[in-house]
Amino acid sequence: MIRKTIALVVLAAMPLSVFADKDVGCGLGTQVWEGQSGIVAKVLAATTNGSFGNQTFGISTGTLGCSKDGVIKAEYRAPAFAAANLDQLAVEMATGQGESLEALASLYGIEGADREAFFELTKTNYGQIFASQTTSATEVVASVQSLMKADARLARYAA
Amino acid sequence: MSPGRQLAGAAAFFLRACSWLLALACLAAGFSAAAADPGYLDELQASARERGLAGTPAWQRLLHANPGVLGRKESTLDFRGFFLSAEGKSDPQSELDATLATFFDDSLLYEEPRQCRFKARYEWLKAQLGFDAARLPEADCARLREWLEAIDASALTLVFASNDLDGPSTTFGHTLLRLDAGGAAGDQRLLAYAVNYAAQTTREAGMLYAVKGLTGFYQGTFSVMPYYEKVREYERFEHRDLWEYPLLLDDAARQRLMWHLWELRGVNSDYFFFGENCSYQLLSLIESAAPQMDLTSSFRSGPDYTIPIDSVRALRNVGVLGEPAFRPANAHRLKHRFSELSDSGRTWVQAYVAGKAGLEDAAFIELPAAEQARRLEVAHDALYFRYQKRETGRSASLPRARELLAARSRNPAVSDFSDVPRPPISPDQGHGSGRIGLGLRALEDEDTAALLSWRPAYHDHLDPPQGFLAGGEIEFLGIELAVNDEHIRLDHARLLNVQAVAPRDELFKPWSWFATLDAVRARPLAERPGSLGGAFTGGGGAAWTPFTGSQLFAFATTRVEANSDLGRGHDLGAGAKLGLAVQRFTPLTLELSGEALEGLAGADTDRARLDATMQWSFGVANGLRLGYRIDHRRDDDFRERDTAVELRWLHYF
Repeated sequence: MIRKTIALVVLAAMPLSVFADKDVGCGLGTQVWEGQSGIVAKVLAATTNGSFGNQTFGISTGTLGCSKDGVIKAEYRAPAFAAANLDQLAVEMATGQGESLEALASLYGIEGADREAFFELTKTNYGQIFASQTTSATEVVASVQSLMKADARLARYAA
Repeated sequence: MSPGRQLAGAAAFFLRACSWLLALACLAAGFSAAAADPGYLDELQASARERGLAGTPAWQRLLHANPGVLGRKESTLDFRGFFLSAEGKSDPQSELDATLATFFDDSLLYEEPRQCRFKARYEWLKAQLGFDAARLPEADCARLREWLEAIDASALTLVFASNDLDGPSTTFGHTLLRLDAGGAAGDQRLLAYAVNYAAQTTREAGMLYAVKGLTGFYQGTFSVMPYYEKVREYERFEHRDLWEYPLLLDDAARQRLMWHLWELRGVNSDYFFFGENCSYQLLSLIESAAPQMDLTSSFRSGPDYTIPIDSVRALRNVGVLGEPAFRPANAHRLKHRFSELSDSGRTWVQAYVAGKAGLEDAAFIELPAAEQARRLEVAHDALYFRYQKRETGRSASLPRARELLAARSRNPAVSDFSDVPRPPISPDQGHGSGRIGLGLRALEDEDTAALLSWRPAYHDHLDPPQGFLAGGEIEFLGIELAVNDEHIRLDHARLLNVQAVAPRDELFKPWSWFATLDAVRARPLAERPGSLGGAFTGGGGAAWTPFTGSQLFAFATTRVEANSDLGRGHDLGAGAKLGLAVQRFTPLTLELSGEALEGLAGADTDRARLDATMQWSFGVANGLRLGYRIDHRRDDDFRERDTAVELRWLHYF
């Protein structure tokens, strides 16, 4: 018990940047409701990391490693968006509509009437996509991709 | 020699000559491909000098070297690497010469060809001087091209994030630029990129943050990031509405802006909250791309401050802003949707959030799908909001939030909430940030004094409310002079006043607070007011909305005053303040407030104050304010009561 307490105290005293994502830097390990504390840790890490003369466009939160000159690398656009907007996507997929959902559809190149099918797909399979409290953004993206592949109409949009 | 041998000799010589010539030709070709003609540099520099290019606004704006005091042209940028000449920061001519020279240098700078690193300068000089590509070959800017293609900016938007009184650093709002992509993704604002100028700070304690920001201690830079990150920060975590104004620049200007932005990568400058802040720097960026516009000179002349909404107005006044789109903060959307629920809906949501109702309740199950959908959405948003405010923890509330969303996903109904109504007046159409006043004060003994006032910023309860956050007051450095036949004196100075009045309702229970720092006379409304001293008043409390367009607030207050006219030179008191502010009957605004303080230390004075004021505004530029004031002071030795009637004409600019 005492060891646990000491460990907790030591952990609490460590700088927040120690808890930075171990993922590629796109924040793909993000879970829903990481909320303020998740953001704070990343912001701290980002701003104290800021250095001048390295000719970059600053480091945006959680995208270290998957962006260049402030712009998200093409192959990470959809996963990075999903990670940063995970809470919104969780609500909008359950509801079946929303701005973040539209943006995700756009990133996958889904056009016109197929968008309705995409929204239907994610709503119907919601429980599978947001399977648990610890479901990460990577897992959400993977679930969506595999659902799209298995869907006759949307398979052509899957990566 | 025999003819054969002569022939062979001639042939050999010929061949050798040919190979020499060939070698020379190759060498010459090699020179013109790999190295530019250095004599051309002298020509270009001479031509630039002849045409006075270094003195043009276009060149100076690329250096951010605006004419300052005594016509000195010093750049506001500090990063050494931005300047190619040792005197580049203060001498545009030497910087221009050095820039032309650098274009002839093949070596890479920060891993990039120099012509690309300084792309905006290169393109401008190329257009002005007509570069000959044979004598100065154009470098291939692969990294820049990749960046431009990835962003694919086809339109620009100026975004104004309004203030949130809960966060003092948001006091005057904030501006940033959005780069909107072309094509199908054009209407997806979340996929755009944002250009933001901000100070590189760590999350420090309020006072230190304020002092550092005010004194240029922080360094500011431009960053580019996905716009959704800013939306997340402002709309979702903070309660800031976003106003998105289309910025109407032509393709050429937009391209110049992007090139110059590229040049500003990692280039820092001293960040001043008031002066060279986000808004000033954005205007500088836009000005560099559109030299025919003058956006910053009015902010550089006179007192050095740039209030963000004024920077929006500067752009509107040169005719480059379109009608803004309104994006309410999530908190406002939640309030709106909550109010659209029926009474029983609101009760159920609150009960669910408090853990006293569930999805298995008969009352819920029996509802039609559409009504269930509405309640599920609002209950989830309410829980999420509480989580963001740290009123509940992730482990406590996430399971319930997930339960709500799971149920919502099984519910095929479409919720039919209406959009948050767009305020009829956008922030740029609100009253001007500065205010001057001319008035008259009549004291009870029929003494009168003329009043002259000036307040550079920003807004109080009685100013025209359109475009401002209701219930908030922010005032800086307001001064008022009183003039009568005997003298002109400083009547009072309102150095700082912040009132964060946040009304409570069924769903939200925020705290309200205020802080005021004044220079006041010991007896403000007396015939002989006494000397000037300093007073700080502050407190916390709550507010409510008794009816639409009004705020009722109650604070517990403390007051500290230092004044040589007070017994023992100072006074400490504590008490309460109660007030009602009404904007419902625009153009009429009203405020009634009373304060009572009991002396605790020092002069130990008990005070009571009553203010009843109304203002009739003429549009947003002028108003007539009439007030009645009572100031009552009592201690062991005396008891004084002063009253006054004040009438002022106010003009906003």
